Order: sequence, then structure tokens, then C-alpha cells
Amino acid sequence: MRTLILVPSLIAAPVLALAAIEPTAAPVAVMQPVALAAQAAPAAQPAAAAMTLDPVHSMALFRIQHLEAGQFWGRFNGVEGSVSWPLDDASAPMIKAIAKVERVDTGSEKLDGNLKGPNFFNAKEFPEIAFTTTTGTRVGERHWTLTGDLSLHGVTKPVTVDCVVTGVGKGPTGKKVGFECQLTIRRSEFGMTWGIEKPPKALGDEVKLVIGLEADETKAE
Amino acid sequence: MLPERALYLLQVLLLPALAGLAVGGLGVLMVARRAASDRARTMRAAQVAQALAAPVAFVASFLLETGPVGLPPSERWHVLPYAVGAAAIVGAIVSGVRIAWWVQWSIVAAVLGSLAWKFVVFPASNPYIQAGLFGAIVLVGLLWSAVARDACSVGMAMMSAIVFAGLGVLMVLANFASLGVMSIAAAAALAGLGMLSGALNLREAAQLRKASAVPDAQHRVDDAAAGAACPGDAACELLPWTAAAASSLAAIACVLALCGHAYNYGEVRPVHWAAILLSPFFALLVCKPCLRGAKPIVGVAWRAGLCLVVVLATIVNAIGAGAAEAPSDGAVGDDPMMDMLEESK
Repeated sequence: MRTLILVPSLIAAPVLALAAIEPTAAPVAVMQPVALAAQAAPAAQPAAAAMTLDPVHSMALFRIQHLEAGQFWGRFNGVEGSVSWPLDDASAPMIKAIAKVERVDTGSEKLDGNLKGPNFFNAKEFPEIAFTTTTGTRVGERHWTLTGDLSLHGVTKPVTVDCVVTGVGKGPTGKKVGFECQLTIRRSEFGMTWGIEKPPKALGDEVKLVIGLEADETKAE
Repeated sequence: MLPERALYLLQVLLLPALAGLAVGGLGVLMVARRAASDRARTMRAAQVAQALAAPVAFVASFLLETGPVGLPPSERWHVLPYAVGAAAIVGAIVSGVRIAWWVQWSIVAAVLGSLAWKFVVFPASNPYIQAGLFGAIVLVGLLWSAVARDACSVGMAMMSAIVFAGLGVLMVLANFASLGVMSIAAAAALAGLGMLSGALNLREAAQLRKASAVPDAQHRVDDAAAGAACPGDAACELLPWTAAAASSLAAIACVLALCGHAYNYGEVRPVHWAAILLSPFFALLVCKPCLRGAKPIVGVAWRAGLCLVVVLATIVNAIGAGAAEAPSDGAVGDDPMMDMLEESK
């Protein structure tokens, strides 16, 4: 009888000790076996698919007010990066997108040069604009609010992005997923102040970004 | 909206230019207000002020346009106010020392060249570019020193104003508008300084002629002749540029040109920057043998005119090079095949 009590106790002791060392993970395992089963359920579903952005079909458009009048649009072509997202919408798409400032395209070569120059993006010193998702909240079916870090003009700041999964299709090499993300930033917060006050009101401070992404499912090697 | 933008131009262009002119003009006025016999004592202090005119205008324009910058600067081109400030201080200090012109040039070139080598590093800089910057500061400084010794103060101020204005236009063509504005502010200060020097020189010459015409005022003629070199009878040279001031101005021009080149997103080629930097020397080469014995005002007009021609030709060439490379917009006349078809109809 004493042996029957001692053996389980000896087994339980290190388990409890481990639970004390890892207070977040272990108590769940010990105390809530039902909850563990529920969390483990996604394992039965498809895991987050690793995807690579297709630069030909991925771009970032920006909109800014010119001379307090028209809303002027430009775009960064060839956005590159990766996405990790379970195709069934079980968790937030983790997007890492990089736009090269050299790929800015406004339809005017002169204006492109201006934007690449040190008065605006300063492409020679800050050649890339990057966004990396940190967390996401589901707001509807295939509709997420993502928070992440935006690095622009040498400044990195947290931003919130409204992101919609526009579709899951099939391409010649596998599954393709489309995203459309929108956010609005104040460029002055990223140290791009030319044209806001000096010269006065030449360009707006608020910049709307619409990012269209298409990602290809990465094939396992 | 227009008054607001006009106010902006006033702020970043005119105010800095006036600030620079106030500092530089102070030197010229200091000398002009002195009796000719007392000028030698004031001369050095005045030349220090003269050397500060363009840098003061540039730095003031930078601060009003971009705002104060930290150290180390967040963007590499923000090193400019520090670099220009250092050049101004070195140029001014050496201007105030009574030493041979080539010693002044040597000191300024060595100090500013070394500082630029170490601290003025723009994107895509490499050891060759840094060595090139050092060499440019030494060489262009020597050439500008020679120009300063040959041309009178008005000519030197006008030619350097043309150079800085030319660099400003190239910067705008290189899609670096704010640096262009700063360079043009420095040019405006130099042009103002040239005009002020010219006006006072002419007044001085008139007084000299008047004094010469009065028989009992011979002592005043002697005083005037002792205080300042008076080449010809049409103008007096109140405040000649020192080699140190010319070298420091050349160093600033070289650094601005390299900065414009480093951030270039336009049609400007290295040869355009070089042509503008060397334009005063070209004017000197042409004028030196041709204008011996000519009146100073004729010399100023020829030198500044030739310098302007080189600068304008360079700018036109830079614009033309861009237009030649511009892509077709698909209009009739772009495609020779389409033109032939049109003609055959």
C-alpha cells in the first residue's frame, strides 16, 4: 500500500517541479487537459502555410494630397517578402513585406527621381521600406486587423493595418493567396517633413497606403 | 497660398542671404569707413568677416529649411552645416593671419581636406571618392586662390556667386531641391557682397579722383594710395580676398558638389559638377593674358561673363543630356517607321 502511494508521488514530484519552472505552459498541461485538447485541435487542421510574395503581382500604392488639391497616387512595384497563414483563416496572416524605394513609379521619371532623393525617401541611405506583422485580430471572415512594425526613412514605428484576404486561388505552381491591406500614416512621424511646412502645404502629411499582395505557397524542398 | 510660399522663399533664401551679406558686408564697411592710412589695421578683421559671408548664408538657410540636426546626424547629408561651419572657421582664422598666400592655401587645404576625408562621407563613398574629395579641395582651393589674387574683390565675389548659383541649379536638376536652395542662398550673399564691394570701390575711386583734382589735398591722395591697392583709376580695391578665404570657399563648393553627386537622381554627370567648380579658373586663363592694363570694371565684367558662360553652357548640357535620355511618350515623330508611313500617305 505504501509502495502504491510512493511510486505515483515520485513520478508526480518532478512533474510538479517542472510546472513550477514553466508557469505558463506546464499548468495548462497539468490543470486543464480539456483546454489543451481544444488548443491542439488546429493540429488536425492545415498548419500555417509558408508563402512567398509574388513580386510581379504585389505592389504598394500610396496616396498623398498635392497643393491642398488633388489626391496624387504613386506605387512601389515588385513588393517582395513572405506570408505565413493557415488557409482556413484560423490565425492571423503574418506578413513580411519589403518595398524597394528604387521601384517607385508615379508615371513621371522626374517625379520618381524627386521621391527617391533626400527630400523624400532618400533611397541612397534608406533603400527599403519594410512591414513586419507582430500580432493580428480577426474582425470578420478573412478580415484581420494586423499590428506590426513599419520601417520607413530610417525610422521604425508600430502601425495598424486593415487586411482582407481577397481570395485563395490556384496557380500553375500551387495555391495562391491574395491580400489587400490598407493603412494611413503621418509621414512626418517618419522624419519625412519636406513639403508639409517648408515649402508650406506643398504636400500633405497624411499618406494612405493600399498594399496589394499575392503570395505563392512555398513548396517544401 | 502664394504669399505663404513667397514668405517661405523669403525665409530660406533672402533672410540667410541677408545674414551672410550682413557679416561679409560688415568687413567691407569696416574698411571703407576707415581713413586710408588706418586701413591696414582693420584689414585682417575685415577679411575674417568677408570669409564668413557665404558659409553664414548657407548654414542659416540649412537651419531654416531643415531645422537643427543632431550629432551624429540621422542622414549623411546633414553633416553639411558642420562641414561648412568648420570650413568657415578655418578659412576665417587663417585669413586673419599675416602669412604668404601659398601658406594660407596650404594650411586651409590640408586641414579641410583631412576633415573632409574623415568626416564628410556620403552614400556610396569609398576610399577613392574620399581621396578624390581631398584632391579636389587641394586643387580647386589652389586654383581659386590664384583667381582671388588675380581678380579684384568684386570679381572674386561675383564669380563665386555664379559658381554657387550654378551648383544650386545642378542640385535642383539632381532632384535635391533643398540643397539647391541653400546653395543659391550662399550665392545671393556673395553676389550682394560683390555689389556692395563694387559700390564702395567706385565711391572710393570717385573720392580719390576728387582728391587728386584739389591741389592742397595731396596728403589725402597719399593716404588713399597707402591704404589700399588701386588698380587703375576707375575703382579702388578696398578689401581683397585672402587665399584662405578663397580656399575655404572652394572647399565648401567641392563638398556641396560631391553631396549633390552622391544623392543625384537626375541628369547631372560628374563632369558638370567639375566644369562649374573650375569655371572661375577658366575665366582667369582667358582673361589673364587679354586684360593686362584694362580697367578693373572691364576685368570684372569679362571674368564674371566668361564664368557665367561656362556655368550656363554646363547647365544647358546637363538639361540636354536628360532630355536625350528621356523615354519616348509615343507621340508622332518618335518612331521613324511611323514617320515613314505618314509620309507615304
